[in-house]
This record gives sequence, C-alpha cells and structure tokens, in this order.
Amino acid sequence: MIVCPKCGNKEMPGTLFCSECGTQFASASRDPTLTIPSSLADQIHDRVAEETGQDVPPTPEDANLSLFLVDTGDVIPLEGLTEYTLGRSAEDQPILPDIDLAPYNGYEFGVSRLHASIKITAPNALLTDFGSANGTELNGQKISPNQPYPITHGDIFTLGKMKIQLLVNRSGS
Amino acid sequence: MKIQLLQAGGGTEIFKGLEMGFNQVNRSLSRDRVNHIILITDGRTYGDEESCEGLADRASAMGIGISALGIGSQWNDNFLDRIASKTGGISKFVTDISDIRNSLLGEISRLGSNLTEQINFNYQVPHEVELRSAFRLQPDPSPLVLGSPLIFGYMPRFGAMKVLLEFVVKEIPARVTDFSLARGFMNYEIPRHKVKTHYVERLLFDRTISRDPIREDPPVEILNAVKLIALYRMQERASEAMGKGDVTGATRHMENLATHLLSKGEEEMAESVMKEVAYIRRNQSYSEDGEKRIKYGTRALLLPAKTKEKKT
Repeated sequence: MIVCPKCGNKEMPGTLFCSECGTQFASASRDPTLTIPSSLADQIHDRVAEETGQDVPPTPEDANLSLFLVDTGDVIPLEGLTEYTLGRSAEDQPILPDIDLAPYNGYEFGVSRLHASIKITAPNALLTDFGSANGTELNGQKISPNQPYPITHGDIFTLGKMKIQLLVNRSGS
Repeated sequence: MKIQLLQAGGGTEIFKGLEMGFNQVNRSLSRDRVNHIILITDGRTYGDEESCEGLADRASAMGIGISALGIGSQWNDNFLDRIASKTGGISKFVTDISDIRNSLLGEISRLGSNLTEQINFNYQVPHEVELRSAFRLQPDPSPLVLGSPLIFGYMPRFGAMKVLLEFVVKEIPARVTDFSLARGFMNYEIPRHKVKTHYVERLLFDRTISRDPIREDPPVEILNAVKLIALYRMQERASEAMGKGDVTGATRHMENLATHLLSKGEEEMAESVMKEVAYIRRNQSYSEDGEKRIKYGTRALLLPAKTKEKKT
C-alpha cells in the first residue's frame, strides 16, 4: 500500500496520483536526497553567511531539504512531497500552496498566491516561477516564468522581495 | 422523418425518441454510409434507462453509433456518457441553446470525416488481472464503459487514437518470465476502403517479468495523461459526494481540484471551480449548470490542443 504523505489516503502500489488529493506519487519512491560535494557546499555556505551577515542555521535533522527565510530567520522543512507549491494563502480563497508564506509577511514581500514551485529531482531541485506578479529571482537573476531552473544547496531565490535559501542536509547526503 | 411530426409533451422519455431514431437508421442501414444517431436532449429520462442501454447494446452490435448533445443543466450526463460510450459515440455539453445548430453541424461533419466509426476490442484477462478503468484520451476524451468488447470509439481520418487502460494485477504466478495482462482482437471496419473493409488485429498486452526489476519512472506522456484523469476523477468524486449529501467532502475534492488546476496554469477553470465551491457552501447544492461545466471543463483539458499549449 502507498500512503499519501499529504492526506493519508491509502492507494494500491503502482498508483501514480492520490485519488483523494491528487498528490503525485510517481517519483515519490525515489530518494530525494541531493548530493553536493561537501567542499562546494561549504564554500557556498560561507559565502552566503558573509553576504547576508547571518550564519546559516543547520537544517532540521529529519528533513533532507528545507527553506531558510533570510529575512525572518525561519526554517521551513520540506518533507513528504516531491513537488511543493510556494505562495501565500488569502482570505476566502480555498487554494492553499503547499508552503504558505502568508504567516511570514508574504503579502508585504510581494509573494503571489501561487508564486512558484520547487520540484525535488536528482541531482538538483527545480525552481519554477508560475508567472507571478512580482517575479522570481535566482541568485540575483530574474528567471523566466514557467520554466524550471535547477537550484542546489545555498542558492538564494527571491519571491517578490522575499529572500529564501535552499538548504540541503549534508549529513543525510 | 419530419421533425414537425414529433409531438412535444412534458417530461422526457428518451427511449421513445431513441427507438424512433434507431428504426430510421436501421431501415437504411448500409455499410457505405455513416450509421449514426444523434440524440439531442435537455432532460432527464425517467424509468426507461435500462431499455435505452439495451437499445444501445443492440445498436452497437449492428454498428450503429449514438452520440448525445445535452443542453442546459437537467440532462443526465452519466447516463448519456454510458449510451455514447457503449456505441462508440460521444457526448457533448451544449451550454447554450443557441449553440445547438453549430454543435449539430460539428457532429455531422465529424461523422463524415471518420476513417472508421467503431473500433472494438474483444479481450480476455487472466483471473489475476482486472481491467480497472479505461479512458479514451484522443479523440474526444471520455471514460469508456468496461467490458468485453471494449468500445474504443471512432477514429478520425487524420489524427490518432489514444486509450489509457488501467490494469490491476492482484498476483503474479511464481516462476513465470512472461505475463499477459490482456489478450484479444481489435475489430474495425473501414467502410469505403476499396480493397478490404473489415479488419481484425491481434492485440496482446504481454510483459516480461523480472524478480529484480529496475525501477523506472513512467513516461512523461502517460504521467501527464494520468494527472489530468486524476483531476477528472476528483470532479467525479465531488459529484458523488454531493449525491450523498456530503457537502464537506464535495467541497474538499473541489478545492483540491482547483489547487491542481491553478498549478497547471488553468486559472480560469480554477476560478470557476472556486466560485462553485462558494456557491455550494451558501446553497448546499451545485449552481445551475456548475456540475456539468466542471465535468466537461476538466475533460476538455485532455484535448490535444490543450495539452500542447499548456502554460506550465
């Protein structure tokens, strides 16, 4: 049996999508861990710490990937899915992104309701902007909407004005 | 038959109309012509569903197709889907009465340009296997009625047919190296073909069995199609929940649907689903044609033009 990580619904082995909530299982069995040479990761880590004036916090131990919100210092673990939508919830809007940035002042930072997605693949994660109003930058470069861009540990992307860093748990890799 | 001779009365009895059409087509049945009934209805039929399905089976066996154009919100889409699917026809939702002429002309022109009207698949599955669902992706996306023969439907002169079959394998016998999911024959006729008109082709779904398989991701095309069918099923589940009076369940399915539609870049459709959710919360029922709009809307996502131009 496959148990949907999002809603707990049980499906037969080989099922591609959860019939309850539509979550994709197809590549869920793959190891989502990203392997990055540790020296490179350290370099990025140091560079980022220098640039932002903050040391990057360690990732939560049980998550392979997490998002570090540079402005607020919060860390959001990415667990259980292979693809995450990023955005912010709004009143009387039933559509919820997987990662809701509303509690982190998403609105003030110019995050769209459905702004971007992060897909976990090997060897990179993929960042896709959904044609958001204020756009997405990756390491300071604006990215074209609806086109996946590979991102790795230490990369900083900006949704509107909200800076987010991708963290890969090196002890897990 | 002159339309003027038909008497208009209250209520809808689809069987009577269908039978008249059937007799008419049957009288001039010819392999050189298109033998097809187009049913136009705006209503639900009462008490004669079984006779209609029986007639559809008979029509199918004789090579007569039935297509349905449903107008407005009252007609029984699931019932007409079954009738159409059993005979290789299609069912369409006509939102506005003023579109009926165009829909009818479109349907006639489609029928005139088919290569073959009905492709059937007579098959058998071993007892360990169950054909769980069948969905035609192209042309005219539609769920297919299960059973042997499985009616795949028509084939346009230009274009392709794509059908997705979902098999459940309950058990693979020990020590086999090859396993058959299904075996059978595909039958079809090309009526105006000069040399040969009736074709039978063997169709085998055989797979090699490995005890130590290499895990492979499914092909993107299949994954995308299954994703869209999953959306269609969500809509179906919402509709089933509503049928049982489970408003909370129904709105949950629809919210999930809207989320996925939005992430696919189908903003308009997502918005329309969200509006429907709000309506259901207020009124505890679907809006007038909301249910059908969503059903045929999610089905239309599978159309090739749509899948090519997708925004995400």
